[in-house]
Amino acid sequence: MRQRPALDEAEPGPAVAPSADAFAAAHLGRLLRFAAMVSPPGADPRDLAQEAMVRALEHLDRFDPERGGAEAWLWRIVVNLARDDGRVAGRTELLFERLAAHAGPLATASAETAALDRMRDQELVDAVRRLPRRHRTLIALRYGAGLSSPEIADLLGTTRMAVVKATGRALARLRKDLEVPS
Amino acid sequence: VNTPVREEDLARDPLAMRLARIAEPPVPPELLRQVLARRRATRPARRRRARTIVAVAAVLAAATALTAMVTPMRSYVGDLAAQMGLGRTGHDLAVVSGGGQTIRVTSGVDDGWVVILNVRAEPGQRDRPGVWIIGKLTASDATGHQLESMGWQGNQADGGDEALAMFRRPPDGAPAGSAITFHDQPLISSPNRQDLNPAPGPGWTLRVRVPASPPPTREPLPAPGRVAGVDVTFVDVRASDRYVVVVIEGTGPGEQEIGNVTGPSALTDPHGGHVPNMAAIGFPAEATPGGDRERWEMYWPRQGTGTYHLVVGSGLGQELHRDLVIR
Repeated sequence: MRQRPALDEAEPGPAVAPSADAFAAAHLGRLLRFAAMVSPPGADPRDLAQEAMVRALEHLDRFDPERGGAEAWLWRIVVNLARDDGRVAGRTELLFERLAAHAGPLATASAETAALDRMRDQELVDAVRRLPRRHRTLIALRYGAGLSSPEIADLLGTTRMAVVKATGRALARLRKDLEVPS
Repeated sequence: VNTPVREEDLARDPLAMRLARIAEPPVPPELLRQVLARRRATRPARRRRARTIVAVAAVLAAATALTAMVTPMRSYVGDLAAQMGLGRTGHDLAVVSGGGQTIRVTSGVDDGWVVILNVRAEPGQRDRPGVWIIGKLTASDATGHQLESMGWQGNQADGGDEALAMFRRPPDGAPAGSAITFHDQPLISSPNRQDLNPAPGPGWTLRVRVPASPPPTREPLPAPGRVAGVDVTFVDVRASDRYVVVVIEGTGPGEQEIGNVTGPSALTDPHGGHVPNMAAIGFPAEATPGGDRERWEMYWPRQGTGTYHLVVGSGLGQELHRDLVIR
């Protein structure tokens, strides 16, 4: 049985479970950013961040470094918890929208870039929170949690390509809501 | 609209690049302290399709997410109880103790429309990580009929846990003001932490008698409206000395669309002040010829008489505004 090292014995690295303080300090900011994006209007993002991190810390001694990084393990807890309280969409709901995605080069419009640069982080986060659940789930996982498409696909039980396409649709919806010139 | 379908398209999308630059918010020291103390958040997770009670604290609904993050945790149950005139008086309606644990019903409402019990547990969950001291709450009346559970919301405060538990007396049951047998079965997290199960032991049983108070009276119904593709009908508006309750039905293409409209609602009092939401109870959607129909019952502490302003928000930037005349 793997034991969690004492705090002053903890060392960084893949083979050692992290200390609670270091783990919380390293991930809580990103967890809050994810929670702020994925929580619908009226829900307190801190509830999700607090609950998820406490669950992670309570189980730090069960974390098996050989089965994956501590960070991946944390996000699995987060997504399961958020799914359980209805903040994130499940796989079925994510794939529900079957509109064909239009391939093609995307214009990097300077007007859009300029408009987005003027926009405050808070305005963007608020817009993300107003998205339908399936869209904000993907935006929050990618730009709040900072996960890659393969990592999101692994968490949601789908393919990388499905995640890319669905994220594209989520961005299109967000762009429409923001009415950013493109 | 060109929708990115390749990873490299996403990487080049100006909106995606801007989203990737959103800074991590500062971690409030209080939140870090709570996390390191293994202090759980205020509510257990609930399945969306289950009958739910959703606390939509007004300050949180009105404030932005990041502002909320730096707002110190408040005892919103205590605030709501105080606004309804249910603050602690030192005279509990019922109390039971044993093994170092005390459960109190400090005050309540029993008016024939709803039963509200203000419950406090000392010590609280903070001292027993993984255990919800205030857990599955049930109640029965003097004739043995179960009261309909409408859910509860709670938080940690002053070294204990506190909750507002809401029930409805059955139509053929005992009248308001008669004795209620209230039971709290603590819950414990399952080994995989995904479910809450009854903790070993009999739990806590209290016999409570809340003095009967006048039931809420009907108030004028606002006109129906339509927002974000959802038809909103006001089924009932009532007010008592303690609270205002609004019952609305949303009919639309799906439960999610209806929830987006009916869930985030806000109330402003006659003086323009924001009224914190006490409870928003969503009932499972029913299929109708016009689409899914879902009923929501929302409660706010009463802030006097006059014209209140209700905003039914779509969550998509569209809102339905209606005045509520509370006499």
